[in-house]
Amino acid sequence: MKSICIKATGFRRIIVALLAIMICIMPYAVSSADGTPAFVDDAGLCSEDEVQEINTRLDGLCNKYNMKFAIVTVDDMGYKSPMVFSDDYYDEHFINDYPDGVVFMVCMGTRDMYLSTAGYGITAFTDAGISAFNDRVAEYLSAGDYYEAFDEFVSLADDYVTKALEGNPYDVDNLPKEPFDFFGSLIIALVAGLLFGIVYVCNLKSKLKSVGYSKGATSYVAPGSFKLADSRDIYLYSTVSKTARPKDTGSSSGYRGGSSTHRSSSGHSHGGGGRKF
Amino acid sequence: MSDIIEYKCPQCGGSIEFDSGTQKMKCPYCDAEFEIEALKQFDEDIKNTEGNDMTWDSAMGAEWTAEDREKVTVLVCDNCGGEVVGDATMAASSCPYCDSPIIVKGAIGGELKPDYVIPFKLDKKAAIEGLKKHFMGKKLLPKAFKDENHLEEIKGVYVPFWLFSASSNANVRYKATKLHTWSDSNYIYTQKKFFSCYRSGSIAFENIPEDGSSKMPDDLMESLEPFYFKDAVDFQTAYLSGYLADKYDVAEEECVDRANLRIKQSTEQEFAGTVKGYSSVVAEDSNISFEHAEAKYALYPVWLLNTTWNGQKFVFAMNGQTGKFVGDLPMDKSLRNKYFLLSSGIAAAVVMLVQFLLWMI
Repeated sequence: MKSICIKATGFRRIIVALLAIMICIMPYAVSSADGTPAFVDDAGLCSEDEVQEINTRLDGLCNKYNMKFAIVTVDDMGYKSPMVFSDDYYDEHFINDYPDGVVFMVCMGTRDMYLSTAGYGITAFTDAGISAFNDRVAEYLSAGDYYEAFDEFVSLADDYVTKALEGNPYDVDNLPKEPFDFFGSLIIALVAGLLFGIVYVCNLKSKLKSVGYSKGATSYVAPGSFKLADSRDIYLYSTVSKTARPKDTGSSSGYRGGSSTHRSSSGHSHGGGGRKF
Repeated sequence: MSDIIEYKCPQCGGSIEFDSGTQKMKCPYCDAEFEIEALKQFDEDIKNTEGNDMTWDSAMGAEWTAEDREKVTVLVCDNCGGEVVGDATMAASSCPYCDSPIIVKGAIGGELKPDYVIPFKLDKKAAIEGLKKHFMGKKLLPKAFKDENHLEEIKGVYVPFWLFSASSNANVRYKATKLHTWSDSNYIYTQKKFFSCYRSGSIAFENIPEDGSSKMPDDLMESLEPFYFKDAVDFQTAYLSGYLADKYDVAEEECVDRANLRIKQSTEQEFAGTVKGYSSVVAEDSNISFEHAEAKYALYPVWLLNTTWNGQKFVFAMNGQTGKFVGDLPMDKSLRNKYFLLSSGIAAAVVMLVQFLLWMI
């Protein structure tokens, strides 16, 4: 009896210990049933505080939209393509609890970034929207500003879903706003100002000048004296020049926006897109 | 084939040969092909538009009568040597060119007497008003220049003009082009078709004024144009009273070239109005022959103000018939810089704001 008690106590201890370890290892597993936190930084790109903060914000979004927003960073994808790796990651960890969601994958080994979408995520993140997202975030990743990249993901994801819920998801003709390019605009403004100043002052200068030879003597043509007696137009020759036509880009001709989807190995439908950074 | 004519290629100027394959004339240098008939006509048109026959009958030239000589005196300026003609009763006056006093030299000599005169239609008051208006709205005009000007010194001067009238026959040849563009999936093609357009007809010019005074800048006088001959009357010495008149010292023959050039320009321009349906029309050559061409001598009314400012001479003139005011003005460089900085700054700020607003939308 005693031994059983001891055994039982030991078992309980083990359970408690295991639980304690689990809680220590995954302190931020707030909303995932299988315990995977929203932000898994296997590549170690952010500090602990940063990871915690981003997790909190991702979970906030999760509660707000009842959709999963996840980030995963890895050093290598184990011979999988970015698409397959990201799709599988989402299917494995989140799809059962959150059929709607998006995962942002960053692989440092191959310098790949990929956004995999599922359910309503496919609607909110159109192909054009994903492409715009990738371009924007790749700038941060390339510069090594990883926290800023993930911070941007959180803000953009919020923005994308809000837009989609309004019935107007970001797409080909409705892309998210680039941040205001202050210096670029300033250069344009200065050049335009300079040109305007030159034209304006030249105009003022020309007002000072009123003397010049007159061309012809049109004011002195005797009224009604002009008579045409003969006229003949002869075609002589012609020249043909050709200039290359600007090539139609895919987006302007056939592409009409929306989201394209594919099926992952587990049979779930995903959207997505990625690039190198 | 006795009459073999060598044609020149209208495109490159090379000698053209007959191409038996296409039954056309072909330029061996630039590969252009031509219809034989077109080349024949083109050659004819070139011959028709070569050379000019622009000779003038000189002015009839009545001389001053004895009666006139009593009423008119010649005044001479000690400073610049300018000779002007004035009413015999005229009191001491100053030179319209350099503002120095002028003195009576004596009676008028054997020069030609003007055939016509356009009497002053606008008085000194109007001239001063005209000058004030001329200064208005000129943002870069130095303030001191406006204030320091002696408006009162503006003088009415009869300026001698040769008036050229001619009726003429003209043949003009234009090079005209038509553009046609089309495209396939890879290229945009632009075809430029060249035409030779021949026009012939008649046109007459009446009383083109050419300034006959060497003291008057020719460009200043042409800027005063047009003068309307309808107001001209036969010259009488009475019109001189109160005004000075310049004597011509540029002979009619010396003004002919300028008159001919203006007639040629205007003729080509008038006939060009009948070359329609082309994207560009340029006069290549023209032949003008006068049927009846004569020059007259007339005095036209001009209000004149000569000033110097910062060591630079400025001349202002007003057409005494129409009130047209001309004369180049000095520029205030610091004002120019100020306006440049100000306008550039405002424009830059506006462009910046517009960019920001566009980004906001």
